[in-house]
Amino acid sequence: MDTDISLEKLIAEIDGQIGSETSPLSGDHAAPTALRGPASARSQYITFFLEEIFLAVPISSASEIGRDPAVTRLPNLPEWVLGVSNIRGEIISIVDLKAFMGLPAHRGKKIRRFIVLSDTLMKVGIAVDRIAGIFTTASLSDKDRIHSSPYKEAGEISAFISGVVAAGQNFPEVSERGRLLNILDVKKLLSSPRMTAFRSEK
Amino acid sequence: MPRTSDSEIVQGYIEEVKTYIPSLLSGLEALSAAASGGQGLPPGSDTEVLEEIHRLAHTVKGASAMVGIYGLSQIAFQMEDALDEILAGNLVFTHETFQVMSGTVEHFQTYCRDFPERGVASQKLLRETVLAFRRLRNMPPREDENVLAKLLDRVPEYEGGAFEGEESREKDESPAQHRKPDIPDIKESFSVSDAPLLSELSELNEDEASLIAMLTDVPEPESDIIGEIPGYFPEMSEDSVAGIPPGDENSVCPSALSPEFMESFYEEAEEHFQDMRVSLKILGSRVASPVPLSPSFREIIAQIRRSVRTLKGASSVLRLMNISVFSARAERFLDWLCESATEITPEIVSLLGESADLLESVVADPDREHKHKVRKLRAGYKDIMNRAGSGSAISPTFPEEESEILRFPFASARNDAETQVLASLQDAASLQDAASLQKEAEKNFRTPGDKADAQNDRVSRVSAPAEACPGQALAGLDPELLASFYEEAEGHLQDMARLAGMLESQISVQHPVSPEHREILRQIRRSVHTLKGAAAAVGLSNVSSFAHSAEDLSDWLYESAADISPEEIALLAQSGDLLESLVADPGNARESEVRALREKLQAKTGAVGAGFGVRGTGSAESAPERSRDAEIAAETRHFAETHCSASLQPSPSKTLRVSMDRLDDMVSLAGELMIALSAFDQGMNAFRQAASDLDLARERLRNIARDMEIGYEGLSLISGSILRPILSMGGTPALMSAAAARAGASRTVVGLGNADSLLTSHLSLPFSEFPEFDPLELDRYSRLNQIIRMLNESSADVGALVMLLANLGSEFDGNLTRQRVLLSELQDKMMRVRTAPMEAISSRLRRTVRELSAKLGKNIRFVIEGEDLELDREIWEKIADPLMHLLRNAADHGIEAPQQRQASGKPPTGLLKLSASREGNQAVFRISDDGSGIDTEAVRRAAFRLGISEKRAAEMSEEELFSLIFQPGFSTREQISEISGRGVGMDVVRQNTESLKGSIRVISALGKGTRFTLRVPMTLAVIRGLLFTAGGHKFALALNDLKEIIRISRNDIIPGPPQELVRIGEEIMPIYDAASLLNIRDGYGVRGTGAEEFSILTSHYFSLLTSSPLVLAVGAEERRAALIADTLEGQRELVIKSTGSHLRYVRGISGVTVMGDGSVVPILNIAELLDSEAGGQGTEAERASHFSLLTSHFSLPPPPLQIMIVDDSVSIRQSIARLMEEQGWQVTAAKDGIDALEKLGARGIPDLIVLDIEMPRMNGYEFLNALRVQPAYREIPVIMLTSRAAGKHRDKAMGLGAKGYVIKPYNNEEFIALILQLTKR
Repeated sequence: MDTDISLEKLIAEIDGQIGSETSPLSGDHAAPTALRGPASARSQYITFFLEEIFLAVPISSASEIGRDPAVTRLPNLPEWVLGVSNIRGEIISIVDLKAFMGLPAHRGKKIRRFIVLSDTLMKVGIAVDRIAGIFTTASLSDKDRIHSSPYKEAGEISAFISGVVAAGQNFPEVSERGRLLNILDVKKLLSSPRMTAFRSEK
Repeated sequence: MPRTSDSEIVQGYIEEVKTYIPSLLSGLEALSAAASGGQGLPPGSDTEVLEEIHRLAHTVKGASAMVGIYGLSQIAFQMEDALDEILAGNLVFTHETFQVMSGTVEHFQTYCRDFPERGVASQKLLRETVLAFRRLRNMPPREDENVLAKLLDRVPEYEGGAFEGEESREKDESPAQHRKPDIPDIKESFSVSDAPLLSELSELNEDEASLIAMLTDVPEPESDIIGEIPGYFPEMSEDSVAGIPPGDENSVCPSALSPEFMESFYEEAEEHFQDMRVSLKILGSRVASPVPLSPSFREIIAQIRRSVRTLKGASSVLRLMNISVFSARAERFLDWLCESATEITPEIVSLLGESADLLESVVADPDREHKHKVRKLRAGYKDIMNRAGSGSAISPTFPEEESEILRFPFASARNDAETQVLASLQDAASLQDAASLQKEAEKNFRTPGDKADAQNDRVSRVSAPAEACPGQALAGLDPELLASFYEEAEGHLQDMARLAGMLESQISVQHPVSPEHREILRQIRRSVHTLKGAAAAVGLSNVSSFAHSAEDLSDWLYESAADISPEEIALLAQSGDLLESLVADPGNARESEVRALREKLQAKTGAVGAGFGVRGTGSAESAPERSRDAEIAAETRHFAETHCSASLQPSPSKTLRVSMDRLDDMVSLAGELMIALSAFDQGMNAFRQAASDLDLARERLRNIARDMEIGYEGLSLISGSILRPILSMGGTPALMSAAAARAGASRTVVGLGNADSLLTSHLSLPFSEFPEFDPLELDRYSRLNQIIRMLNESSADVGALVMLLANLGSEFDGNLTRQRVLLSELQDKMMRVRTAPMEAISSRLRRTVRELSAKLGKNIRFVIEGEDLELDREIWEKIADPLMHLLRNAADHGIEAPQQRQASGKPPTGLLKLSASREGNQAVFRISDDGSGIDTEAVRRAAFRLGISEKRAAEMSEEELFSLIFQPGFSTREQISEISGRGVGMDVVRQNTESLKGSIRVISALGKGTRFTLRVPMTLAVIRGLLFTAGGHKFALALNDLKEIIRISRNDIIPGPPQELVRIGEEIMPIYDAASLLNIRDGYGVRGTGAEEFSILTSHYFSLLTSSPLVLAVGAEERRAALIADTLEGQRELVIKSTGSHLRYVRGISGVTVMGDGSVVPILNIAELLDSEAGGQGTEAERASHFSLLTSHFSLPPPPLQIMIVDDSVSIRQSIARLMEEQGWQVTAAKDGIDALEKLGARGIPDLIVLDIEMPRMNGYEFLNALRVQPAYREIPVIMLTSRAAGKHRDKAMGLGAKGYVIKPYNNEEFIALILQLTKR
């Protein structure tokens, strides 16, 4: 059973990869610049793909990453709740973030990976297609720091994106993918009324 | 300075003796006066005084020997001996006796005066005394010298004087010198086993050794037993003590004592320390600043003192002098605190704490000196006592403490009782009987025995301060007795409350007493009665006297009342309440309440008494009274006896307090075990499956072997006739097979192509070498033949293994079953520990309502239903407050005053009902009243006050309005009453409920009443449930909700619309497909995304049903429904878990359970499912709102595809399965056509079949054919997956109805695309 990999191990693994990838580049650009910008603390994010959407969640709000969860569907739940899974003895719901955000649903596809997001009140597992890696705000220069969310139209998805990171020289992980990295606002997500609608009867 | 403590002890001891002298003298005078009245004192009379004197003499004797004043000890012994004779009636107390004894007491005084400073001429005094007593007892003078010589031998000529000198003298002497003469003496009078004990002395720490030596020497019981050897005293002079080498400081007595002895001491000590710690904790928490010493404090201190005292006694018996010395000291301080101190300060408490700590460390390590600490604490004691003394009257019982003088603990003047006990302990110790010693000690401590005076002494002293504070009766009571009294009382009070409640709910108007009522009354009477007896036995006079009054009423009701009215029941119940508060706090006499109620009771029974007098005679009345009193007496006695005897037991079964957390841990462990066990279950199924597969494999093996054998025989026959010429021509194997083919060999031979070549290669040699042999004759020797035989043998071996495995399997199965039974029993017991029936709180609730109705002047009949509901104690604790609040609310706001009720045509007595029940995983409490209901207009007005706009308030629905009452600060009352209406409360009720993850709802009809429904999930619940599958999903169902499992005929279904119904037995109920009821159904043709298609799906489903579907008849409350299930998976113990922190509430399920393999199975909440599905007023809207709230798009997620793979190759099966599963599809694998057909029957119809052509038993073509003939399977799309690329194979397959033809190796994407296309995804 290789359903769970410990988070530390994963991070170490990915860090290793990043290190080897970035070493030639960092030679050119000297040491990573000191932190400025909005996210002034050095913070780390787990990046992942939800089909074609490139997303990131702060490591601090992710309590677990695993693969192949056995999901049991429960009745009378909205489509975006895929069901619950027994993750090391704890019952955790697994959510299809795309469906939650009003994008085409996961459609009963096999859930390969999940990330358990948590705040003080609850834990929610989100189904993920691929874990991309880790990125650290310390590796960002002034230029390609986190931008505030460019999504102006109040759509389901923009409501939960706190910022984006565009391709930039100092951030090969992002530029390599050639996509905008969307940073998920986990707090907002977990406290959104739809997410918290299951507190009690009615 | 090791000797200091010794001198301190002596000094202290002498102080003690001084205090004895006045009582000795006055006692003797009293005796003398009595004696002079008549002709001497008649034997047996005035024994009390005699015994007192005897006791004192005995004490002086024993203690003197211990502290090393041997002369005094011997003198006292003479006196005691004589007193023994007098007590036994052998000697008469005369004036002469008086004189001799007074003289002896004078000697005592001499010792007291001179011993410390000048020293006493012991031998001279002893000689005088002995002679005087011998004359007194008419002993022959000629033996005088003999006896004297012996006695004097043991006493130094002079004793006492400066200690310093002695000490230096002692140190000079060598031990051997002095030990020698001791030993014969010891042997002479001590029982032999004391000798080793004594010899141990040589190893003792000098300081303690001296004390121990003294103890060892205490000889009294011997003198009793041995009788005629008067005055034996061992030769333990100062010298011999001094003879102990000062070097050996560390090894101490424990080694010399029986280990069991020590062990039981430590056990006992540990218990006492625990008690002390508890008491100190209480003190510590209550004493934050100096407070007056209330009786309850005194009681606590007395408890501590008791522990210290017991420790002191026990440790001195065991010669643990460090402990006993210090505890004596602590005890004195406690004595003072208990008896003379007026206030208690935090300082005192901390001092006590330190003392307890020190005592504990001394006990833990008796060898170590704790002098420094001891001194510090002692200074602390003195300081506090002096300060208190200077402030008020000096405590007379506490004499000034000489600087650094350790008073000897055994002879505390104020502890006669103690000394007595210790003395008898010493008696016992020398009897060498550990058990009897313990018992004796206990007896002396606890039961009034022949040492009654000592006991009385103690009791009166203890109770003295109690008398000073009226109403406080506790101080003098035995805490053990009290503890068991409380336990018992609690039971009786609960019974009373419950029984009164029963009566209350049954009787709403004046009613003749029925036999059932009488039975209840009898039980009440019994409880009151027992309570009275028990209270009297432990000395709680408040309780017992009021119980007596209450008993009168219950007696009258039971014995003579013809009718019973609610009023009387209320009176009974009130009496119960009052009794309860009296028991809970005996210090508070509640005089006014008691008096008021007692008057009422007497008014009742008095009125009755008159009536009774008319009917019966006076004697008739008094007879039952007498018999009842006798009964009480008996019961009191019984109580006292049982409890006293219980307290005599060294270790009665004790109650253990365990923290909830630890219990929870165990419960959840048991739950985990259950889950682990069900993993075994699943493993067992796999095991059985594997065993039967193995059997199949064996069968195949055997068939192959047989085929080979037959084939080989055939071939050899052929070759025998045809091949020989060729062989003889020197043909090659290649030629030979060519020849065989040419010979037109049968199909069998062709099929055995491989065997053929084998045969030839191996046979070529023998054939060529022995051409004259027929090959058949050679078969036994051929290699091939051997292989065939080996194959047969292996198949037999495998067969045996299969048998073995099957046996093992059933054995495991049995073990598992046993395990499961045990485990569920364990779990049950564990749960029971946590749970309690509602009775735990119901008496509180009843009392609340009763008090309220009295206060409000309303008549309220309060009925509790479902009192046997068992819930977690924690839930009871948390839910009591919300319930109480709701009840109060209902009594205050809900139920109207009697006049108002009558005006609106209701009975004057309002009905308030609390019903508790369990529904699925929830405990449900309904509180309903038939009062005025909630006035929606008033709520609107209040809403306006709260800041909600008038328009908005007007628009609000009733339900919305009602939900407002749970808002903080909401109140409809314009005026605030004492009981409720402040607007706090309902929001707290909701908060409390939500903290239990529960919910609360209210419905109300104006003028009719209100009902609150409180639902609380039962945490940690285990239910017995049924597992079943429906629509490819596994579900569980509580057995409670399951009414019947039945197979119905399709014709029983009465088709809709609007609703399919079914008749089961007498009932007609709606029938649902379980999976669509739950909005999850997989694997059937139509997959809707909207409600419309959903209903089509359902009806389509019904048309698809097999002819006799399996139906679960379920029901909750009055509703019934039938659910169609696919298969049953059996009954299981299910541990209910919540659905996680995110999905706290999921409509339709009461939780999930985790299977052995870690998979999660939802447990259906039938009540809720039927509620939402079966309709009823308002539920449609509710459902809509529910979904609008929960779902952004109400649609069915497409269920995963079900794919069946039929291939004989395991690796092909696995690789396809992996590919399919990655798509999120579900896979069933079969190894050949027959297997596939079986699985189709068992697992239901897949969306698509992937099929190989070449397979054993039934090949792909045959399977296709089989599918074609079954209408249910005809439509399943089939993809052929084969390595046969030839067009004719493809054509054949397509002809048989295959929809696709894929050639191995396949391209993943194309393959998936084809599947999606064929399944119309």
